[in-house]
Amino acid sequence: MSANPPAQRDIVRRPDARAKVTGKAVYAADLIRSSMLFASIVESPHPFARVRHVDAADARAMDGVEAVLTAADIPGRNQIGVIQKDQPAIVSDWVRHPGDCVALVAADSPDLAHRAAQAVRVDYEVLEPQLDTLKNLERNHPLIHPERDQRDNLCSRHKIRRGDMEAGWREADVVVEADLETGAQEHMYLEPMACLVTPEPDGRLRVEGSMQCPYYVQAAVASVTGLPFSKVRVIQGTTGGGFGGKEDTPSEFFSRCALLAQAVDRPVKLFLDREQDVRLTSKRHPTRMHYRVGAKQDGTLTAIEARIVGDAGAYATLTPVVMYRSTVHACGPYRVPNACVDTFGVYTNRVPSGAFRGFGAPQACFGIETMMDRVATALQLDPCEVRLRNALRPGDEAVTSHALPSCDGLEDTIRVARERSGWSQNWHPPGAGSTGRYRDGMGMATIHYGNSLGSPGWYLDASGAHLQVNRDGSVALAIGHTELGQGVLTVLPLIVAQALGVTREHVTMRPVDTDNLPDCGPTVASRATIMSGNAILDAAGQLLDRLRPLGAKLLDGEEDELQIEEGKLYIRSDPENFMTWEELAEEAFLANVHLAAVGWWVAPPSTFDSETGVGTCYFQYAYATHVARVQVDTWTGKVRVEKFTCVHDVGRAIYPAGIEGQVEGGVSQGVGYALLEDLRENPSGHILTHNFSTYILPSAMEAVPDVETVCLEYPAPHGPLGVRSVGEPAIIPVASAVACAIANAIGLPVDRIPCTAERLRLAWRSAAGEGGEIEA
Amino acid sequence: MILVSFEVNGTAVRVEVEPQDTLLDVLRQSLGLLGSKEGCAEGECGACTVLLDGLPVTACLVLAAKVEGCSVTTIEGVASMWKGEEGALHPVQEAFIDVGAVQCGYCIPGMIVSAVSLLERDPSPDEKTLRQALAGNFCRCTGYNKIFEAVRRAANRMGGDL
Repeated sequence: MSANPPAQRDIVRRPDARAKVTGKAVYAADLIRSSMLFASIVESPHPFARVRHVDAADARAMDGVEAVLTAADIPGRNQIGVIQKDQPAIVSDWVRHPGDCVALVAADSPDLAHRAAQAVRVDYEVLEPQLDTLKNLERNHPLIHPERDQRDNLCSRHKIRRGDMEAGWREADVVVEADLETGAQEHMYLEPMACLVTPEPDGRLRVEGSMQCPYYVQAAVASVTGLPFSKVRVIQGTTGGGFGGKEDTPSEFFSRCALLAQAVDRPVKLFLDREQDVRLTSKRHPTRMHYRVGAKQDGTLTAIEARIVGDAGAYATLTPVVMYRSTVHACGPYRVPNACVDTFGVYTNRVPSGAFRGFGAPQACFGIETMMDRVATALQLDPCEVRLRNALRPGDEAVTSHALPSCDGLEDTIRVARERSGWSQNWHPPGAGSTGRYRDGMGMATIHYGNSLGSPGWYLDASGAHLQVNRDGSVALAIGHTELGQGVLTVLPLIVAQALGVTREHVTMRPVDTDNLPDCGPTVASRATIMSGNAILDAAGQLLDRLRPLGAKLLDGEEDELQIEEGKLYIRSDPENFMTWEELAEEAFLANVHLAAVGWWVAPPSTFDSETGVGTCYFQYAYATHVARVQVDTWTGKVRVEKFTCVHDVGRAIYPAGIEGQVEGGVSQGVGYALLEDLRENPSGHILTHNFSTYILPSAMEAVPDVETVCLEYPAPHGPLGVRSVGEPAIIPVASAVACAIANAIGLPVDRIPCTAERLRLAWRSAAGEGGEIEA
Repeated sequence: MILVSFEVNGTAVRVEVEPQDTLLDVLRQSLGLLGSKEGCAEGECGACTVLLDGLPVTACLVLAAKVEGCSVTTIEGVASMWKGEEGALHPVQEAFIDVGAVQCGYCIPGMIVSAVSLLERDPSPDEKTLRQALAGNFCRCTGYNKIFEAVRRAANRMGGDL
């Protein structure tokens, strides 16, 4: 284990950076083809309605309009649901959220396509929108999916039952209870959704675009067009951010674009403008939670009851797996002898909630970490001590009644965060710090994070890598995982270099293309480095099995004694007498050695019992503790986040600058979630905050001035070279740490995020009374 | 149609534009300069930032018909603003690469134009000036700290003493 700040190590320059700083990187909106048409979507203005009739005659008659498609025109299956088959590409009967797609248009300019979409006349029977998750859970409530066998609006249901709750409450010296709420969060990746679909002369469809998951897109396009997978080629373009927002949502829009391209047999481009992108694409699940926690006098937890209700929106999309993650992470990384966890995903007439970095864990983290602080407050204990007292140690059973594999780093994240943040010197009991207008506070949040897809996603938890050594020694790497900005293009060549014994300059990555490799699963769940990295190790092993005997022979030594590193090979006893990797490659070529290999890695299976929640849940975990220092302006309600200390057990830091980039970005996005990003809608559920002017992101002015990233390196059992996930762990504790710090500063509970200035000021005024805020 | 003559990255151009066309439309569609990005079309995100007569503007809010006689610099022209070796990048571009300030990259053309413009006006900006100069350019990936670091590093290299 080491705790070196990554900044002290070598900086690795990203191979994609030069194209990005010169403006040469090609994003989907930059793609141009001759005879290209432009797509537009006919959006339902109503959140909930029955489609009686679609009249496209006027639109079809417009000069320059090449196609108007309705559900009846779909040659394949009108279905794009990724987990549950509840989502049509084009609505034929019910519209279930504002903007639901009723028809598609292709025309020879974006403006004409837009005007033609408005000329499509749709006769609706308008219904009352169902927007309240708790009411929608009640029986005999209007059904959003009446076609399902189920007579309620429940989309997903998970539970954990552990120990004896009665005994847990009896043993408790204190019981704290709270109703908590988390808001929706919009991804606001800087590049809006876009794609280009080109029918190729050989009858295939070529789909290029901004996406996380080319294999999801391939499946959706094949489904709606009726083509076999082999006739759908998906190529990822440079992608301007994803954060989960380009996980399954591109499947919706790209499959619609593919329908148009297929119908007109011409290239069709689809791009959403910002307002459409916000209106029509997924959000982080808003939740309502109830927590009840019992603890002994010394802070030892005796029981946790948690109920989390997530708003699935109109279609299931990823809700069942998001809520699975909320369930598994609902009690934090703590020893909880008795627990009762219930989570519900509920259909409403909103745009579907979906994947967003953290995937259900940030909500659960806000729940459990808020309660950990309240236990500490009730018992007059230091919340850091309460976390340490309960943190899982090796061999302890997690709430799902299995020991977490290799959790030695967890307690250390708390200890190191305490030390680096100056917690012992600066923390004060809630509300007991500075008085007057500005109040200082510190908050801590500790997490575990199940790496990759876990039990419900095991069937697609495998990935490949194709390595090809050319006769000049250069190495081409193809993988199935996408670069979204997170650094896959940088970290994976480092793994290749280490595995083969070459330099990273030897390695070039091929664009992600479904023609290269079989389905490698999605680029989500902080899994790309782990999954592709392991597949690379497998491929590199195959190549070395063929190359090492030749190398030993050429150097006139024993294979056991052969060393290959940094592009040189030599017999250990005689390092001066080396040959270069390039020479080896040329000799291997001339000897007809097979110089390509496909590696494949399958995640170890994990389990989850749907009745009890007993299971291993994920094959390995990452651990982190964040500490936030804030200053609250009690006059305005504005919170300034001054410092973040972020301690992560990353297993092995292969690309430390990339880890820092992930952590600093995660802090910013988490601070936005905690304080600023307030998705507003009108009473019928239409989103009002659909651009940067109304949906407020952290800008350079709100950047946290001091973000310290500390990497602990406890090797993981299954990550390549010991790697654990970091992309999502970087954001999961952030909002909770900020909320805990605010509560600590002002001595009032924070029950809801985002804790906007308006809400905070109102809470402060109502607690302090009129004029109470001006004591100074 | 309106005929507009102006200068882009040092080259004189003459284009026909519609009254409603923005400078961003003309750069991207008529002139094939695709480095400037559209992120919001309302002048908020900063991804389309270009220099108009030396000052940063969001090209999505500038009507193309208004740039008659003006000089425009886009991300494609930034490198040649610096008197470096042939083909060399601007120190701001170099610094963004060196410190790892680039992730998804979509905000970066606008961010770099804003940063270059700042250093033209103030070779050694203080922290507040730096933040204010970049406040109109959203980045969703980096949390801005590495971007600030890159601009400080570029300022040092360019001779300011930030």
